[in-house]
Amino acid sequence: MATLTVSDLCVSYGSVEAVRGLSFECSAGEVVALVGPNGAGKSSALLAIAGGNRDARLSGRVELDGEPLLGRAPERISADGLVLVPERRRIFPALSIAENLLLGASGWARRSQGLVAVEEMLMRFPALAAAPDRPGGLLSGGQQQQLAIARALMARPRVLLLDEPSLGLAPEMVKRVFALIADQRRGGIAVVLVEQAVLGAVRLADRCFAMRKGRIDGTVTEDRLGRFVDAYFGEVDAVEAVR
Amino acid sequence: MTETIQDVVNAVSLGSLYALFGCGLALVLGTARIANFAYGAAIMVGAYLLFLLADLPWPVVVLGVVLGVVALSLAIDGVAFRPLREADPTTLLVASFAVSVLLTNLAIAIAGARTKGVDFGSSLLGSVDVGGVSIAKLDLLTIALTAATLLTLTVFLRRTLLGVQLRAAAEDFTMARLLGVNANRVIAAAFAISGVIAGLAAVLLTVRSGTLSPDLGVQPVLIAFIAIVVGGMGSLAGATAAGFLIGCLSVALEVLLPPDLRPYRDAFLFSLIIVILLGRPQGLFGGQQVGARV
Repeated sequence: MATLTVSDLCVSYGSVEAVRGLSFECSAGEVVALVGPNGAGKSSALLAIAGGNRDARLSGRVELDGEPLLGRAPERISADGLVLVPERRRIFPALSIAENLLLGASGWARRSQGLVAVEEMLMRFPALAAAPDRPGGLLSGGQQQQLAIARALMARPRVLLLDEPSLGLAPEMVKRVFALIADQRRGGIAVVLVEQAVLGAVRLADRCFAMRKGRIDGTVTEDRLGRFVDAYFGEVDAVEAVR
Repeated sequence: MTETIQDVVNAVSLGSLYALFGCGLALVLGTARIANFAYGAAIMVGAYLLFLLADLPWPVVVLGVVLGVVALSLAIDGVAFRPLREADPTTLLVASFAVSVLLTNLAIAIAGARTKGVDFGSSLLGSVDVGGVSIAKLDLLTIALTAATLLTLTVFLRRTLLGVQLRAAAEDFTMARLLGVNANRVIAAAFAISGVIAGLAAVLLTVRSGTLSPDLGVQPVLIAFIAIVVGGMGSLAGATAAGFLIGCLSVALEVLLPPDLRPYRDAFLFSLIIVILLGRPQGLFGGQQVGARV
């Protein structure tokens, strides 16, 4: 059985339907990518799965190892083992790197246990370990993305949702972040990845779905990438998409 | 010279009291995003508790008042605000007015609308001699108690997991929840701390005036809101510092204004505040917008 099962998920804000019947599965040790143009409903879907959009109307089913998640409080979902690294990372700017990480352990740890886990996590992320007392707001985009992923890993998730981890990063840093995601897959985490950088996502993911108008309407593979980009992005955004 | 020192101590003392007002209200506004007008009523209830307990030994009185106001604050959160967690800020504001009106009228129904004298802490009304200058004991106590309270709060916010969670919730509540921070627990903690501060403020305020009446919480909550706006919405340190500044300014005007203008002290004070806000609409120490609620 898949670790994460999403079936017929719908998300609407007032009269706007952002997600209309999204269904997919993701198993432990697997990366599933969702790609598509802006406004396809990718971010709304991830936020809904993690419980983060309280003002939206939700329907459908989301199950984590058979347990229904939809409508639960986000802190419950996170404690149950599903954690989102949201769009634009949402690092706490005034809190230090170490404090940002410590918060990731909120669902399971006392402070002393959390601090030990922070030390262990810093050893895995040399870029963060150099100055753990630095405020998160002063970090570069690449450091912030690493911090966001490390912070999510502090919750010891079974499922990791990543929303546009490559956004705004230099190509070298994108490679490093994608390698980091591949590491998590090897560690047995089920990873759902939303990306605009389609080429990288296609190469990394075990399965890559194209999303348009709130639902999946095809599978993207590397050899059919050109056709996908033409159909979904038009010429202007194509360069960005295959970057 | 002696008089100047006394005036400065007096200003720092009133500033400390106002800093407490601002800090307690800003804590709940910053984390729970509730403009809690019932904060003034909580201070008022604390003063009446003090009136009830006044004959007991003073540590029991202070502890009783603080614990009572903490319990009241938690009850206000649990009964009035928790069912409205997903509601918009206006609804919460109206709910806080409702709680405030309810508590004030309960006080009138139980204790009557008349102003009462309180015989507590009269030993604090004397002065001590510090290097040849006579300083009011109550002023020293107010300053020391405020310093201790703010120091404890700072240590709590920096050195405990719950404290870090409170600071995170103040920056981005939804993100904090996505990381497993329990929303109800964090908000209850903010109300409890706000209750401790309101309780201490009630004691200081009542000893200072020696009287109590059902509308006693109105001025503190007004000052607290002004402090929040002047300090910069969303900044706890800003609201505390602005409260301090307003208290100091108030005493400075009292001293510096010519005697026939002194009755209009508050008009001068609030005009100054308007001038400050015209120059820095985002507040003195702020700049950051109050973000989305839970």
